[in-house]
Amino acid sequence: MRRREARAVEALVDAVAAPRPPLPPVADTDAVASFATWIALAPQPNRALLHAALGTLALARLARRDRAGRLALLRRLGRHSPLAEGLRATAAVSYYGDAGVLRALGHVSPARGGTRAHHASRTVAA
Amino acid sequence: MTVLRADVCVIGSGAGGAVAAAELAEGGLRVVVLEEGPARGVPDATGRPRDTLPRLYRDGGQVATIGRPPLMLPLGRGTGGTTFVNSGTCFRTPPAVLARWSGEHGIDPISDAVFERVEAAIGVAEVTPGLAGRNAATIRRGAERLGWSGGYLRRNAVGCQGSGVCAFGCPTGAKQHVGEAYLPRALAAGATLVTGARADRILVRGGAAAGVAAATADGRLEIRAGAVVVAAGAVHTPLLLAHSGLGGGSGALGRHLTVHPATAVWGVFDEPVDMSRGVPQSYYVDEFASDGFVFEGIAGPPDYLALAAPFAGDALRELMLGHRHVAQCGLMVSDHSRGRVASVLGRPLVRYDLGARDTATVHAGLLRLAELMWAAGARRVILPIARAGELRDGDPAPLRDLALRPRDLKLMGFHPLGTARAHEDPARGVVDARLAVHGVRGVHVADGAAVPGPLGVNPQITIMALATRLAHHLLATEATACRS
Repeated sequence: MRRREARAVEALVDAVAAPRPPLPPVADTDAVASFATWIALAPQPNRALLHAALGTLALARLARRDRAGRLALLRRLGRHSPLAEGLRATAAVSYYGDAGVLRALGHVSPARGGTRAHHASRTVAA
Repeated sequence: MTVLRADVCVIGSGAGGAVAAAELAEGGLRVVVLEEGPARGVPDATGRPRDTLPRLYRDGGQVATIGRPPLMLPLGRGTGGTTFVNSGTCFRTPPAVLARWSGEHGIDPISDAVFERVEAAIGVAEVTPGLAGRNAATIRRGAERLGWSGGYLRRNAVGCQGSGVCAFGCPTGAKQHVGEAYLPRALAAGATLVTGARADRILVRGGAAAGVAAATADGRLEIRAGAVVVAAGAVHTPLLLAHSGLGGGSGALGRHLTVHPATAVWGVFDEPVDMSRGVPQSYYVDEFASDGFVFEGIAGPPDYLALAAPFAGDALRELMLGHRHVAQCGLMVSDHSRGRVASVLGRPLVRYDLGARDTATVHAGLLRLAELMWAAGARRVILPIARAGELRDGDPAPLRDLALRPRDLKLMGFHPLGTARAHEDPARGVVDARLAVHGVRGVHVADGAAVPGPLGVNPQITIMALATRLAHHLLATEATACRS
């Protein structure tokens, strides 16, 4: 993700998640990195659309608008493209899935029983 | 090029492929399983939806249909297929569906013995109320106050601790997905599993299966086999058949796609619900099954709620701060709409438009679901429709009076079926009643693609049962041919 896109993502996440104490600011979370991972793991057509959407938001100076203005821009985008819901959902899960945010919400992640090995060792590599 | 020889090559290791592979290998056949994705296991399941969803689901969890409305179509990728990341709900094929298959498609009903064999293999049992958690109890309370039919779901989990993240990989290994319950059996019986192998063509010589050509990170791979079982799922199986020049005679290949359109409603309660604790999908309401929809309680951790709830800004923050008081229930429609799958630049393109009848069914289902939430004691009911906002004070009018359009809805499709449907008549089906592709010997389909139409219930048991029956049929009738 380019720096300009990262700024747009941070502004987008801030508008969607609307953090306020006791929730930490976006800069104190790994939300932007998580958003970048979602883009990186997307199939190529989706990835291109997401980059285009972020570019559009950056051109519209998303980061310079207040939260209400950013959400209004997202709603306008939503009238023309289902991509807006994708951006909203990714921003929301990126922030509210941060470990610190989950702790602030009082959520404890489930215990893991991660002792069972992959069965990959019994496969044949072509 | 690497060449492997087998009696049967199974493409895909999900609900159909893993089951077929285990049954065939234990029956004495040499089996090679090709799996496009990686090996999956407990170490992949961190219990964190945000981090597992893009990694464990195909295409980062971003497979979507085009059409009105666009639907997210979550599909697993890796050993176990979608069973690794599903909710573990186990319904047998409804008797009315089996009767329809028999009457209209010439498909023999699946016997109780086959269902019992599958259920024993994956540890199916009814979830207990204590393990189900308070989200399920809330749904149950609403249903019982209204006198609606329902019950605790049967699931494939052994030693479940109610981690609340079934759809993101079970972090304790309790869920008996087919990568856990069947693939080890196949391997123990001598089968070979090749992960990271994308089958790109079924080889045919003289009108009969000759094997499968695949691509791996290390180069080309060819499996030489007298029988092929295709189990790549309803989105990818038709593309593989089409690319191989098979199954196109009826014009049904890639068509007749059904997805069980699904959505959810959230209720906000005075008392804590804690929907992140307990089995996420554990209670169902089938009062309206004959009207084309059922409810299944579905829950998850806070990040799952943030992803799903149609809120942003202050409204989302307030919802999240009060997440312990939110209950969620899903609505699943047995669809009459039909979609199609085509290949564009080598990738599947899924087209699906929600028809007027199904839109009306979703509308009716949402009204009933709101009624259930009120009956359970909800203060507010949040809808998956931006235009309708939320309902308060038990007043359904904003939803009831809405001229609902497909594009208003936020929908998902969890169960793609029917794109290589079974029909005894070669003019109407891609595969015959025994799941053999019409017009070629030795090529079979054992996944949701062969299932002719919506089931109205979660399909994993149906697919596993069909794969079991196919394997037994191959062992009984074609083992000699396969070996030759």
